[in-house]
Amino acid sequence: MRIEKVINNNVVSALDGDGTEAVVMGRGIGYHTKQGMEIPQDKIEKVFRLETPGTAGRFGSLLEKIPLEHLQISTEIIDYAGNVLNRKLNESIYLTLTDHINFSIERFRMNMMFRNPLIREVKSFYKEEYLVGEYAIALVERKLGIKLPSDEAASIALHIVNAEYNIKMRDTIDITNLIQEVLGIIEGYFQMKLEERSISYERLITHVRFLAERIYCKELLDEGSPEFCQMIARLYPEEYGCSLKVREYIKERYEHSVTDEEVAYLAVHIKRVRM
Amino acid sequence: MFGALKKMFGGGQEEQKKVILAPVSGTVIPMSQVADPTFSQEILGKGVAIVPDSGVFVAPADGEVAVMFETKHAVSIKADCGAEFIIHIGMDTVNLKGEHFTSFVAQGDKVKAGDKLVEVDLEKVKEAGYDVTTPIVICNTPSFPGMVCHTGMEVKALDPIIEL
Repeated sequence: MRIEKVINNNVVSALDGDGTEAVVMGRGIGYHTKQGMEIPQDKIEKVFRLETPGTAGRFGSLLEKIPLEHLQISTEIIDYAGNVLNRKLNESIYLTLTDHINFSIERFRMNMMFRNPLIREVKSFYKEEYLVGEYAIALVERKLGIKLPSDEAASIALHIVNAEYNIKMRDTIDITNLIQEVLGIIEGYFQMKLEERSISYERLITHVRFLAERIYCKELLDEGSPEFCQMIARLYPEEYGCSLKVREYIKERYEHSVTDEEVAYLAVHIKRVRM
Repeated sequence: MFGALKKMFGGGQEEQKKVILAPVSGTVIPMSQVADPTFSQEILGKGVAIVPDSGVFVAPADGEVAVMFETKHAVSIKADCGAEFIIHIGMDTVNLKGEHFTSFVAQGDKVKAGDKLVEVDLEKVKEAGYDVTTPIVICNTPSFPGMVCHTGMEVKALDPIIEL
């Protein structure tokens, strides 16, 4: 690998053997080096191959401004998330999370922490991602001696969720609100309080979460037989009615359409929490 | 017939209530072998399917008819033992719009195990190109964590197929 551009003492952009651009991190890797020099293998700590055009450049310019430690922390969080969630994360997470971590640490030092109004929802809808957020907070404390508030764990969790689905942060926040609102509609429709510890509740949340994500990724299920929908409407008329209400709400509030099959599936899940 | 059943289940009234019987004679197969994914993926719940060799379908438990579909190809029953189940006769048979099907009960009717629900002209349905495999799905599966499904055997109507 040859150096294309020195970003700082510890980060360089480089060209791979096949000409793809990569950002390479390693202590002292950019110190007294210049374009065209071969990077010593033993100095390379991490190679970021960012295939989306533009990402590598943006990542490079971000890295010019931030301390190496922040990049290392963010990389460690992303590696951890990749392992525990067992899902492929969009590579833009390197850009967004690194920027976020850097920004939170700066804000902490200026004593300007923000509250995350969605912390409760994130904890319950995105449990695993929230645990990654807690891991991140512990890591920052261990490495920098800074104790970020739990609100930060929720913000980091939302960045991870973003990267799982390749959707915009704004949409992730909408999705989190939408899940909460759908649960509210169900509770209101049947005048009941959902039992949060039950397995059926967990399943319902997971289903609503995936439904919301399918809505935003425009990947709604619609392969089902019309009979399935009719059957559900007949078998579970009340739950189907509630599910139609949810569809109406999503249309009005978020201007997204929900297919008949999704309405039927949701009805099945609502039925289960009512059993 | 009921005497024989009582003997089969040790004569206890309680034990008899916790069993779903075969609604029709035929071969019992696991739900995973059913062609329609709505059933094979157990979206509505767990259960078994019967490849029927007779067209007479009877109530598999005491209870009430919750839904009798207009097309008579499916009927759901709320059993006295708490199970809510659906018997779906054949795949895609909704398209027959009731042809070759005769129903003997209506929504809200009380039924005893063995009461005739639907009679089907199986040969005509098969000739029309339909798979007659009949899933019996317990829709409130989560209420019965210890549910056991018996498959891989020939049954007569009212032989036990599911223990709750």
